Amino acid sequence: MQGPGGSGEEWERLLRQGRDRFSNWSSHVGKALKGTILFGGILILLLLWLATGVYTVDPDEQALVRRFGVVTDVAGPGLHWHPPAPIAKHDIVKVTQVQRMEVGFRSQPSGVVTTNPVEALMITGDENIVDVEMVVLYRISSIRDFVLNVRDPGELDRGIGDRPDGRTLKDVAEVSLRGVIGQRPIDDVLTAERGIIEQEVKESMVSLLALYKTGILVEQVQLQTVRAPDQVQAAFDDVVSAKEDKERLDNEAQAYAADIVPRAQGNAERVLNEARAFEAQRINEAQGRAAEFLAILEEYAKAPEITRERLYLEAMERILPRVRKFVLDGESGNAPLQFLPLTGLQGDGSGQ
Amino acid sequence: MKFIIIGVIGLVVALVVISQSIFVVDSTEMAVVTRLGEFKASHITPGLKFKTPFVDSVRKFDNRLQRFDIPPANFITLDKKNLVIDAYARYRITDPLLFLQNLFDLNSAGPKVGDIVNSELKKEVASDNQSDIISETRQEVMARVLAASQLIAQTTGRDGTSLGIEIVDVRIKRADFPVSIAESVFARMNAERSRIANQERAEGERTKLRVESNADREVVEILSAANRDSLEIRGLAEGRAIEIFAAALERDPEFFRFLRSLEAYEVFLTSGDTLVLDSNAPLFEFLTSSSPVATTDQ
Repeated sequence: MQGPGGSGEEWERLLRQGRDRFSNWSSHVGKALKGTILFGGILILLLLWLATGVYTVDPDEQALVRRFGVVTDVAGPGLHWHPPAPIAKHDIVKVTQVQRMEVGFRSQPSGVVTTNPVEALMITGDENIVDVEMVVLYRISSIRDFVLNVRDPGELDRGIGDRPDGRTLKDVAEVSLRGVIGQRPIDDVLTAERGIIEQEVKESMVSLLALYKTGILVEQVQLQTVRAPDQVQAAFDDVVSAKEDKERLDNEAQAYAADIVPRAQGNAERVLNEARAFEAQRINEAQGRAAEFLAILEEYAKAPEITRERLYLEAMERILPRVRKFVLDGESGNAPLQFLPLTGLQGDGSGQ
Repeated sequence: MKFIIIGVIGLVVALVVISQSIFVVDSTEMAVVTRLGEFKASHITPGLKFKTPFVDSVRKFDNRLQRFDIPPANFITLDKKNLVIDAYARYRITDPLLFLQNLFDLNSAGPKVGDIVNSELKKEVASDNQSDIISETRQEVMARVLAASQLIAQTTGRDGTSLGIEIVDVRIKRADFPVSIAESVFARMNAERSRIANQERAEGERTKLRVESNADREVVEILSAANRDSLEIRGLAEGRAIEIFAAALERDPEFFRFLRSLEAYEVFLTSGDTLVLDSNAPLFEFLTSSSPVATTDQ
């Protein structure tokens, strides 16, 4: 058994002091005073030792207290005391804070982000290579499991020592991510199934962390960059642009169809309307003409002979003035003996 | 003064004896007590423990879950393909005495566990196809490796006992193509992408041709149907017109002929035409005769 740091030396020093005082002052002061000083010194040392058992826990922390190696208490925020060092000890862990682990990349406090290809590049189910970067948000759900169950080499670049959220959490994250990505073709990974992947990675991590009893709870898994590796990025971009081209051609064709079909329908309507117009015109005309004829016929029937004569003469009256006329003598056969009017031969005949 | 010196010496002796006869086993530890090299007791629960001072010595072992990282190595699969596999094992000490006898301490236990897992992994990978390890059945592969490794850990100790450890889990962390073939993988990926890109574009063209020719066909169909209907309408209209007309004309066909002939004369005898007339025609009856009455009688 050993007292708190440095108390052994102090003990010896005080003993020596006491002895010196005793030899110097023994002739002057009484035994009672010597005893009082000795007792007082021992009492002060005892109180100092007991005071080393006082500790404070911040609001975002918990403390795990072990007495002789056995867990006796999980202390919440506040001022606490436990028996001092060789008897009891405590570990303080931040439990409420949600912490962040980066997989496949590292962002420095200065804002510089560097990728970590060894972590980020992985094989998909169809044996392609894909670049996936991920963030895991976690917190400590059981301080007892967290402190007691896992020995971890820690990760110095994340500032984590011997705690399960060092290599263990990183291992679990990589196993889960690669396991899930390895079951899907690259096209699904790159496009549609981001949410499902996040969910499955989280579930896998939760079950592994439970198997190892780490006391870590994964709150959320967020996929960051999910893309094809640099070596094939151009080819993947070209596929995207090919899909755009396909879309464009489709739209162009639809635009063409949308342009010519309604016009054709319009033209068809016009042709049909013209036909119907013709129909109406033709039938109306026929009906009109028929009615006209019947009306004339009705009056004609009352005096056919004279009406016929009149109609004939009226027609001649309209026709003959505008034509050149040769009148042949009916008796003299076909010889044109007499001309009426003679002057009409020179002129155009109609106006004279 | 003598009393004090004797008291101090007594106190120191007492402290030494007490510190030699009690020890603490932490929650993260197990302990084995030996007397001059001979096994006395093992403590697997935490707490304050006692031993005989000076002759008993205590060895403590970490009972937390241990990690051993198996370095990445080339594995050959059943289909003769190379994979670089990076795996890890998790184990914990279950029996401190057996552990002490078989493995001595954690520094030598890690590589031993690594050897066991590594050889089982090699065996397993050699009987699987590459795709099994990468994709669907990776879980099963790991479960088989774990079971085989656990069996070995339980039976290969001294006199066929356990090694004093339990292998809790074996995981393939990474299974990657070797660097040497990564380039050809990328070449294959590029070829596959250009196939997909070509296919997308060709399908776009196909859609365009189909949609446009469909539209053209539709236009011809629409217009020709309209023309057909138009001709039919016109024909029927003509027929109807003829019917209407004929029904009226049948009342006096002769008169119609007369009337229509007069109309026709008016139309076709236009100005400038020359008409030769017989003077005996009825039109001139009164022109050549002096007596209209007599002529009328003729």
